[in-house]
Amino acid sequence: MLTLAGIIKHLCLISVNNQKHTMKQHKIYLALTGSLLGIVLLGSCAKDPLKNMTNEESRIYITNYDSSAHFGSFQTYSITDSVAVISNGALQKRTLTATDAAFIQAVKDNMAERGYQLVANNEHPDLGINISSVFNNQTGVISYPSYWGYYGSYWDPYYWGFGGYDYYFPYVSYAVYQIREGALSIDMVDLKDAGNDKKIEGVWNGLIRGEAIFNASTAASQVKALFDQSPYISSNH
Amino acid sequence: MKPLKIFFLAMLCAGFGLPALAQQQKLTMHINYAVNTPTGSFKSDLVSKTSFRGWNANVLYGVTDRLSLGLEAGFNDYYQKYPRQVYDTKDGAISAVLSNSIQTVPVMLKGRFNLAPSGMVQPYVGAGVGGNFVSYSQYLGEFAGSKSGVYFAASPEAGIAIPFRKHGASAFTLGGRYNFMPFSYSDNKNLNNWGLYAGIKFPLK
Repeated sequence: MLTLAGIIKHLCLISVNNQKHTMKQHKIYLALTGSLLGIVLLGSCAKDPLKNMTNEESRIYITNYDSSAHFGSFQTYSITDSVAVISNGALQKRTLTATDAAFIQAVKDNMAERGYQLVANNEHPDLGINISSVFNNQTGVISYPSYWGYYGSYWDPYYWGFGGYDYYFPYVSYAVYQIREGALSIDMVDLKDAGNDKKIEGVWNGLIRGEAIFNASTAASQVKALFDQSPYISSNH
Repeated sequence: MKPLKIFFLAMLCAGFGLPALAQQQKLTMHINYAVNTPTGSFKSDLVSKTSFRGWNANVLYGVTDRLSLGLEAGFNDYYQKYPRQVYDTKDGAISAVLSNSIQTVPVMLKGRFNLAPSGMVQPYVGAGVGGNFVSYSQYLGEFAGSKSGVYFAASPEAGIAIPFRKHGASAFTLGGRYNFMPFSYSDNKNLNNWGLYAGIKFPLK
């Protein structure tokens, strides 16, 4: 930018000081100055929204739920003891880092606040909660319709005592986005009504996307945001 | 602010050499810094803040000493970030900081009528009609959906030119205009705005 300013200044000084220059040259300098100016302004004037954004502001909290589900009909829940890491549609591993633990604890805190009782996964919980870190570099949507496509291979229904069942998520909404970033997905599935059709229905999903999601110190506030916008999750509802 | 500094530097420099040119020049160039304020649904739905990031430039041919015709191009960048809010969706909700970023580049045929060609202060009226290249991005957090396209633009204006010398062709200009800019995104139907501009005019030929 400074170089360009220098060029413009130089052109101007020449046009002012050098009396031998013809009028024609003089005018060309002016036109050139104008053209350069136009290019500079056109290229650098726009304010970049991404550069004017904190990590907190970059994050979005998306919740989807089955509006026909009665959250008051559930009283107990269980949550997985680790976080599945899913990259490009495939399960990479399950982890329990300090951050993972913070997210699991945050979900427990919010569920307790909503009146649900935590039980072990083999004590017939009404609800099961899975947490997944999703990394994807090929989707172009805010929610991941494809994320649930192979869900049974990330979180085997066998864990919940329903071997051979499939998960089913009746809601999928999405919007187009332009960049790639990791996401944290929390899925709440209905184990109480997993019945004859061998389907475990997802009743709620919370998805967090944006910058610096995987941070133990902000896990609680991030999970709280998901629950705050989901007031229907309540054992008294 | 660097582009603005360059702009003013260029304006200043351009001004130095101009008095010598003077006299009934046929082809003139106008370069202006522009400030634009959204109105109507543009203001209420997308961006309410005034844009201080804009310019316009035109080249006009003097058909008579009063009437000149030519081409104009402009640029304005509109931006606004709204605080975090929860937006309801079909089966859920999204909590996000929403940012709207809009760039308009109107390219128009332009006509201008000088009401006092030999005055110390020369008031003028004019109008431009043409196309408007619009680039619109709406960010939810850092995730953007975008739409761009070419739309219609029309822009009546009024202003004054103050020649640097008596009967000189170079002048300081100051004007205001209303920009009709139809657009279509969701419920929004236009990017209409008021604009003020200031700059210089100088002869090319």
